[in-house]
Amino acid sequence: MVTDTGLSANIVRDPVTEQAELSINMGPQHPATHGVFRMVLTLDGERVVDVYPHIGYLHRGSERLAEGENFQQITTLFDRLDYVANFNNEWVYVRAVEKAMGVEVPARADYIRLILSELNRIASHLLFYGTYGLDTGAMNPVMLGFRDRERIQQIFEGVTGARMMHNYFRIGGVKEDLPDGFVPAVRALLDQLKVGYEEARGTLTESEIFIERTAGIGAIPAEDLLDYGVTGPLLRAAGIDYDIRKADPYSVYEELDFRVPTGQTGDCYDRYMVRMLEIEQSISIVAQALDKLPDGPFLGRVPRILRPPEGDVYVHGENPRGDLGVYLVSSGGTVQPYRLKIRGPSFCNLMALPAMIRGSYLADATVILGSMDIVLGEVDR
Amino acid sequence: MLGTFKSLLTTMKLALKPPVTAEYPSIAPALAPRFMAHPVLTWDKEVPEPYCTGCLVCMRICPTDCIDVAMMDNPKYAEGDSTRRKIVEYFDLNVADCIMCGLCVEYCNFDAIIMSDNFDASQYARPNLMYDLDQLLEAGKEQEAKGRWSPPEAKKSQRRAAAQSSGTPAAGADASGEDRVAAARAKAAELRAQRAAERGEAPPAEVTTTAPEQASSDTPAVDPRVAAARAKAAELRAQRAAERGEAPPAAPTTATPEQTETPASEQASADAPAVDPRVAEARRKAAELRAQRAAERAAQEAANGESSDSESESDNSKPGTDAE
Amino acid sequence: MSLLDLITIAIVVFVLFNGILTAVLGVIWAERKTLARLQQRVGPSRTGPSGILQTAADAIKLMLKEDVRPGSVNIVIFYLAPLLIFTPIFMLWMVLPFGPDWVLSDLDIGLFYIIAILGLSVVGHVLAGWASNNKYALLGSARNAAQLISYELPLVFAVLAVGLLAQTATDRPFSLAGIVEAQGSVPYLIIMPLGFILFLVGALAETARIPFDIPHAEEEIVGGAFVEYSGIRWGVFFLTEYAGLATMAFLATILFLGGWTGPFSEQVPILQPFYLLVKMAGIILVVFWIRAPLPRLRIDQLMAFAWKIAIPASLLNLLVVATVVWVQHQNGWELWVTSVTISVVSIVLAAATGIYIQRRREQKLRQFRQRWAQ
Repeated sequence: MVTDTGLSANIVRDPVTEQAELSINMGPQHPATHGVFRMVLTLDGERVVDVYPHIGYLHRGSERLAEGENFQQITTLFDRLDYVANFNNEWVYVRAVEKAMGVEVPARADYIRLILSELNRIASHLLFYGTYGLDTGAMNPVMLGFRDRERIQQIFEGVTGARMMHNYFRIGGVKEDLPDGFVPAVRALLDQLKVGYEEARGTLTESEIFIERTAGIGAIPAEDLLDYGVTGPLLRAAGIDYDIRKADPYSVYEELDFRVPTGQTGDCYDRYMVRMLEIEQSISIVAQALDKLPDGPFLGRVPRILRPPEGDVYVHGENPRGDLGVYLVSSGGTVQPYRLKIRGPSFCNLMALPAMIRGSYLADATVILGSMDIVLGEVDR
Repeated sequence: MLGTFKSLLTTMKLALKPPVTAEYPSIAPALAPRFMAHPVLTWDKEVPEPYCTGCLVCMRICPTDCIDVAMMDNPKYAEGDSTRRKIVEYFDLNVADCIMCGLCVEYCNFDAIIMSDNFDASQYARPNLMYDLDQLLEAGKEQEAKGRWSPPEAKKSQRRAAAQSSGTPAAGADASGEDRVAAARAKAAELRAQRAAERGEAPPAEVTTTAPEQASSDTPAVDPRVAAARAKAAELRAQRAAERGEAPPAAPTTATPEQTETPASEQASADAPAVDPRVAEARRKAAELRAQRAAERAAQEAANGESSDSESESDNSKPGTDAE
Repeated sequence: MSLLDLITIAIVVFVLFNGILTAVLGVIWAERKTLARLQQRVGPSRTGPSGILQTAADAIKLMLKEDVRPGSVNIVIFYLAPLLIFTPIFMLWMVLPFGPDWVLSDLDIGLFYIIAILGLSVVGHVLAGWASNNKYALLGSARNAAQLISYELPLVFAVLAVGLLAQTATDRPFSLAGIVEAQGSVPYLIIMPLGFILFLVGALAETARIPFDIPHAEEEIVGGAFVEYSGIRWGVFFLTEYAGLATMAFLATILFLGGWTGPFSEQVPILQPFYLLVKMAGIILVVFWIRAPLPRLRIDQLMAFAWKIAIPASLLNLLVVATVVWVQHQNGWELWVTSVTISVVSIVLAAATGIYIQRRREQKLRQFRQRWAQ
């Protein structure tokens, strides 16, 4: 049957209703699935009737690996969870261990962490901007996004020695002090970012085709979002201003002045705008934090061998993608955690994907998936 | 319409700016001074020998187990040229596994390991990504020549102490009393395990009757399979011995004080996740690897038919034993 | 027709064919370089000076690649489809004039010939998608058929309006050379801007360029009808696409930009092809420029734009031109009166269309602006 094109085999025909549907496999190798994510779409013409997400192609067993690693070594695992927001991940983890051990973090270390994390948030949102532009078919945004992200990563390289996998935060502080000239370099970077941000806005934000493609797409009621456990920009786009930096303030966020941008309808355009405005806010946060950056030690007094007392802690923080939580159980006296549970925002946000995609066009499916800004490293862990 | 025109106009303005990309292979990227590629080893020009004493701290802290180290007595110490009693015997780094986290550098007590800037370390075959001691030392000398590292004036432990007294602790140098006790206890347990392992392994060298031809003269005719089997047996014995040594603190442990205590005392401040099974595991792994290598060597020699070199090699081929 | 004529024609065809192919390689290189500049990149720079041989190297690589054919394709159609797409585009060049006499065959109905041949390529796309036995390819070819058929209408209406207009100044209004002569020193771009815009939109859609590249939207259906093709067969598709772009730019130059006319083109005939190619390059650059920042439309929006805006506007354009030409014919107006009348009406219409689109978008935009004011 080599010559038989057998197209009927491609089409799922309901024997009762005679309705023909096309089942199509998107991913794990597909230009628009953001990593190794796989969707099985059931199409009725161009309409998506149903979608089954498949995850796990990037599963590395991070949680199980963590049970065999020292507390110092686990930071490297967190770098690799959400690999476009490494500092934000590391931060939540070290805060968890610090809480378990009751370690005080010096003020300077807190500010260093905050500055780097907010810069990383900008970098992450810039990457979103680029890939989202690409998802809608535009080519320039991805270059704009990567251009500015690269500038941020050069700063990171100067501080930590690595562009992405930093392993810089330590229990009780950071690995080493900021290099000379860090503050002026970041100030110059912020100016560049503002220029780049305006270019990015000019390219997409008001473009009619972009608005046509994104407005009113993928919106589901805010109550449903809450039920699905969606957090981060996706939830804020629907008008719920849940940001852990405000709702459950940690570190020195209370000392800084910023606002939480929210949308109204929760459609793809709102999600895009929330992230763009968050870039603005993060730029302002970093500028404020640079003004306030205190002197002093960068690492608190921490025992060389970390043995948290018996018990469990839960710590969460605002990742660029939402609420990243770490639940740490220590059996006491061991140098390794008994259990480390990660509540990943991408993973939880992904739960709402079928509800968002169902009934939309095939072209919208990639736009909606792109607007969720998932990182498979953290979804699959 | 207007938004689209704005978009087009923004794009046009971009064309007037200079390119931000660099043509990579012809223009090398400017790396930050702190840039981290894979680690390399430093060379003490004064003695000359590596800084590394083979204390295994890096091996233990490495999250991906990509380092394999062994320690030996320093011949130069016996001659009085060096102050290092122990020296690294071999140091294997699997760059394919290395995640460039820098923990080994941070936890090294002897300034022996540094992060290189060798970011384009790609190879055509995976075995080429295994760097041995000589390659790592060569790379370390290159780094020094590039000015990315210079020999420290004070020892790392002294620097740590200074930093601690001045109020800004260096990387986790502080150890409270309780932890020091715990560390010492752990260290003692580890030593016991080690010795037990050695005892467990020492007999086979003498007792083994299955392969008399191997005993000491070690003819080139050693079947690699035999060697492998022997290594496995030794490894099992070592493991069992380690388990035994863990449960009851084996009584006579003062056999060879200076052999093991020197590195241990230097090592004490290190964050050794000194849980016995882990140490035993590491040792076992080392023994296994060494045995494997011995088997390989034996096989090679058998193939070569060279008998002259094999004697000196055979000393090393005894799995898991430091020369006593 | 003597043997010598045949040989001459064969040589001309050979030169033309290879010239077009080489030019297409140049177009591809130009796109890569232009896009790179618009994105603050360097672009190809390794092969040859400024990487000008990069596309040639790519083409060679594609030729040397293994020609993979999936097991379940319909072999005959699978191998036929690239040819069916490739051939029509090159057939068009038979009637495209580079100068008053620089044309292979100056058909009196050249315009109709082009319209007819343009419609052929859709067959190739549908066959390629169907024969591949791949769902992405099937979707892509279905999209392609829908899009090509929809956008052929505004394109054809715009072209017909040109023919009507040319009727006022030449007695060969449907020959391409005749149209160029009819334009004289005032290109139809000035007389009929609406027609030019509609032609450009239609041409973008016909060649499946952003924002109308829905048939092979990479982020959705990977590559459309060409998914299963590899090696030089895929290369043929790719080449055809850019040949189509070059052809469309050439047509736009002939129909709306006065073709080869320019300063001193009468006196120095050698300048004529030069002018033509410069104008063509200008249009191609605009297409590249459009590609850089604009997202892709969705299929329903594409159809809505075609049937709700582009086709009514092009019909209106045709109606206006026909009416004015008829009135001129009845009343015996001077040529310039006709031109000015059409020009004014066309500009008004173009502005009205633009305002209409803007209004519709503005409502949405205002909504968003309010939402994001604070």
